[in-house]
Amino acid sequence: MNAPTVDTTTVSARADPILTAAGVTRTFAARRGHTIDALGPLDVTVPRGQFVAIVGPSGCGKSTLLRIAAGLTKPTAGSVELRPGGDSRRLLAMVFQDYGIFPWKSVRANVRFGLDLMATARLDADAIVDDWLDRLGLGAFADAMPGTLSGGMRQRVAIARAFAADPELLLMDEPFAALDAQLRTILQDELLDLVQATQRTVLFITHSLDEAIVLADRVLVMSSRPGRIIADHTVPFGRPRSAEIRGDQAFGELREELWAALRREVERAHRPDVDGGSR
Amino acid sequence: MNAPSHHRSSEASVVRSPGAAERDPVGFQRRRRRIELALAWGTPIALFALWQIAARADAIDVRFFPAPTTIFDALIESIDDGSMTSALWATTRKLLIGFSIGTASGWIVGALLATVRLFRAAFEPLLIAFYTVPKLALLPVLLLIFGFGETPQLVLLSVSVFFVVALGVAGAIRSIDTGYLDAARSFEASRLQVLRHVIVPGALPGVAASMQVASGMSVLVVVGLELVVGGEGLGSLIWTSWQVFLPARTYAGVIVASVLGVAFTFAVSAGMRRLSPWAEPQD
Repeated sequence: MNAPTVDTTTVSARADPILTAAGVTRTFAARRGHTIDALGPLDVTVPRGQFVAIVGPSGCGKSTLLRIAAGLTKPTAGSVELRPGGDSRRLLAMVFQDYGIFPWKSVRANVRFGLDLMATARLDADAIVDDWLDRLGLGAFADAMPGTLSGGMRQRVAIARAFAADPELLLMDEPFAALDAQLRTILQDELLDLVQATQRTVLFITHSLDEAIVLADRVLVMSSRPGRIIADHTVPFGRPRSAEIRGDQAFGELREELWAALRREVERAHRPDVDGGSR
Repeated sequence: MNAPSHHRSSEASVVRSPGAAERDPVGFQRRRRRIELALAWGTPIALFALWQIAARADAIDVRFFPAPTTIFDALIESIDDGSMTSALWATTRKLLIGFSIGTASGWIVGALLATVRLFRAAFEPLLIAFYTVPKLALLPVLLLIFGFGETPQLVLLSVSVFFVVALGVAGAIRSIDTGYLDAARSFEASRLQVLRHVIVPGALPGVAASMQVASGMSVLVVVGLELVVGGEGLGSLIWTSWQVFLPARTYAGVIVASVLGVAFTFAVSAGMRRLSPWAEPQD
């Protein structure tokens, strides 16, 4: 496979990167001593304050990349370096597609979770939690158990919990994938507002090109397994932007361009005669 | 019915219309609930009535199957002379001690099995092998070690409870979805924080189920032990009453033992439900 080499370093990245991945590779042990190359080698630099969306075919290792950044999985080769630099309370927080929030904790206790672990003073924590419950429209459900909430509300809880922990780097692993299309659009708009109001670095994985373009400053396209970065596009809309850019001509053009790159990889990933193809 | 070859969908119109349950949903629910309640209480009452009539009519041998009223009289009598109350207390005390020791040790070992890989590798095969041994068969050995008295009974009861709870707890912890553990780890939770915020609450429903099984079984074991070993308790009251040919008192003992079993199981599951209200959506 000869993926086009892409220069991922920009001027600002060189100045102050929060995340630097160098030659990151992940291999999984499969049955009978075989191994599967899931990821990389992959290089990427994320400057502080940038919203980076990653798109790629299923199984390309994009979740693995995020899990390595979060410290949930270790790379088999290479490294990911995270450099804290702001005055945030913690380095990172992660939002999962599902199972993120605990069904045995109330909405309020879920949002408090990160603060509880850090033993934040009670009064401070209460104020922070109330603020984030309000911002995500969860005030009326503060004492409800997650089991009684809809999928959209549960994902709002997960987002509130991540933001309440005040992380420098927010890792989001297909947070809206389980939602229906309409709800998804609404939550995208809400997240767009939150991100623009709080100025955070975000690494966002999605299958949806529209989602990536609406939210991100930069969209990376990953190849099929083992995943590498094959395209790196800057989104041509400044900040603050509104969700109305969905109707812009440049939006459609970028979408086409990304899809052209991605389509090849999706087809490659699902062709049965190619090694490392469909699962 | 139409012959298949002549079947045409246009021959008769099909009408979907409300039935009794739809026309009056509230009344239907209420009627159904009443009928179910009447059957739940009515069936045992009817059986007892039948038994009473059969005993009165000499259709059954009252020396072996005394009438329910005779059993009731024997029950009152045994409460009055204090033998039933002291036997009930002795059994309940053993039950509480043995169950507590068994569950506490079961929690600890179960948690170790599920969370410490090497502990699991070392002990799980052994535990599963011992699990299938009928614990009552160990009684002679225990009598040899601990002598007669309450100790071997308490040990055997604890051991029986321990196996059910330990394996139940280990299973419950292992079935917690790893997504919840990842979520906690992504916030850099320590091992102790993961235990407190994820493993304990996440495993509670499964732990409750195994404790419910263990609670019913522990009543069986303790009464069975008393039947064999003697001493004080409902089991020995049942056995000695039978030996001196007081069948009514025997049955009274059986009934008290079964009521104790129901009450104990109910208390355990109610207690566990209070601890994990999230497991069952309130209805």
